[in-house]
Amino acid sequence: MPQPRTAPRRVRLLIATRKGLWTLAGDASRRTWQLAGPHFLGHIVHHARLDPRDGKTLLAAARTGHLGPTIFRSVDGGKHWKEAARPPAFAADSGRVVDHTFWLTPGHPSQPGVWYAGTSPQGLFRSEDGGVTWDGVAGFNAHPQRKAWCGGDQDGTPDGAKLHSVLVDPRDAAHLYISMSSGGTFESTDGGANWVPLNQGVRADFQPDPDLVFGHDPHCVRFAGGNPDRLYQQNHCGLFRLDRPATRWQDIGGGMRKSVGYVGFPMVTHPHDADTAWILPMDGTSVWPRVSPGGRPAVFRTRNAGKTWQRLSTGMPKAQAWWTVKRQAMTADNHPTVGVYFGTTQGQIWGSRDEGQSWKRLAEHLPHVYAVEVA
Amino acid sequence: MSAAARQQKFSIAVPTPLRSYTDGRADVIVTVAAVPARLADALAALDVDYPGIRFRMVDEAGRVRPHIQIFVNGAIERNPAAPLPTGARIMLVGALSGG
Repeated sequence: MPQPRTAPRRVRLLIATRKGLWTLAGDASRRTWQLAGPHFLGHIVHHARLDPRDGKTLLAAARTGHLGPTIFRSVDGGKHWKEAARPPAFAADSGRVVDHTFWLTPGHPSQPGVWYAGTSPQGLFRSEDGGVTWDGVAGFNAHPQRKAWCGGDQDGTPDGAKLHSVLVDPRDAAHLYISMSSGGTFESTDGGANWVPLNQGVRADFQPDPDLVFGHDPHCVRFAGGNPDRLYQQNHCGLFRLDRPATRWQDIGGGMRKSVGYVGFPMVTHPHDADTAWILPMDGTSVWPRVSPGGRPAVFRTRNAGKTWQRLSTGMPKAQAWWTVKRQAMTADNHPTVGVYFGTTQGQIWGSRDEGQSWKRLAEHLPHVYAVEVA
Repeated sequence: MSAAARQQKFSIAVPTPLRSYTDGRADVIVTVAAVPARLADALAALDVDYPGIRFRMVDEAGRVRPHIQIFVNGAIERNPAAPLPTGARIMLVGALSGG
């Protein structure tokens, strides 16, 4: 398996929560962790990301119960923050308003300063100045099919329909993927000027049409590590993998235990091995309790591109643990032996230094965790 | 009457969630040149003095956000086009009920 070319940095996690932003910094061995924060106490922080191109710019998407959505920006690794001068907002005559910015993605390495943001309701925005000002991507937001793709209010997730999983092909800045809950996955090969649905083979059990072109509910879509021709998807209705140039997703949920099911929110891929990915299933039966199946949380890992999945729960509670993990709240570092991390709906941060084999609680008593990212 | 003579000043009470924009000030004064002066003009003037504050209260469609309440001389006013009486006192409130 190919190894990273440079020595991995010390891991720092950005922890976005319902009540603010925290950081959790590990030592070189990833055994000892130091919690710091909060920033923006009382703000609902949906996502926070480091710009890997400069290693110091951070963006955080925030709002409060009272106040509208904004983007906070730091150019010194989080020491000081300043608000975006023009946060993502729909055109005044569009009839739509941004409730919150849900997803942040740094742009292509050849385009320093470019960032993408996905919002609720579904909108795609782009910044060309490192997050200071944002404009709608008209090719999506004003597309004649946009309303049909996104569906109505009844098609959204409980706290609003979302555009997420904005992926930029590392080989081509103009090649983009987005996903929507609801709406499905879409692809652009011209920098966002036009979009086509990319959902063949993905189930949508909540729709009567078995050959639906769009209207699916991807929860999280990621590039495979080291192979941007491979995509992994955790969907409302299962697990899927797509190997381009094919356009039909393959069902990779069959290897999951029936007692656990294949429903969940996060999908994490190995940075160096395109066949490895991690998921964290939740109870999606009956009325969708959205808790650990049976109160027994576990990560599942595939080493063979989804053919089989292995339960990994050493160190986690064995019973009566009723939390779960949201779609941005699980991530991996790029150490030779990859560290995997997740934050729970009950404010705990869990980490594994051995690719998921064993787990340790790194922090607790935080607010409901919305996102965990390596910075 | 000169443009300067037509300018009106309005006092605005700023709630705690928005005082990060006003350097902690609970009360600020804005100057509006438009005649008649409307609530939207006062909020626009506030945003000139304290950039970013308006969008946290008023969405891109021009509507006051659901959990923001605005009082003009003690009466609720949610219409940004409403004219402001001379010397009106504007009070901004973060009105989020529940736990």
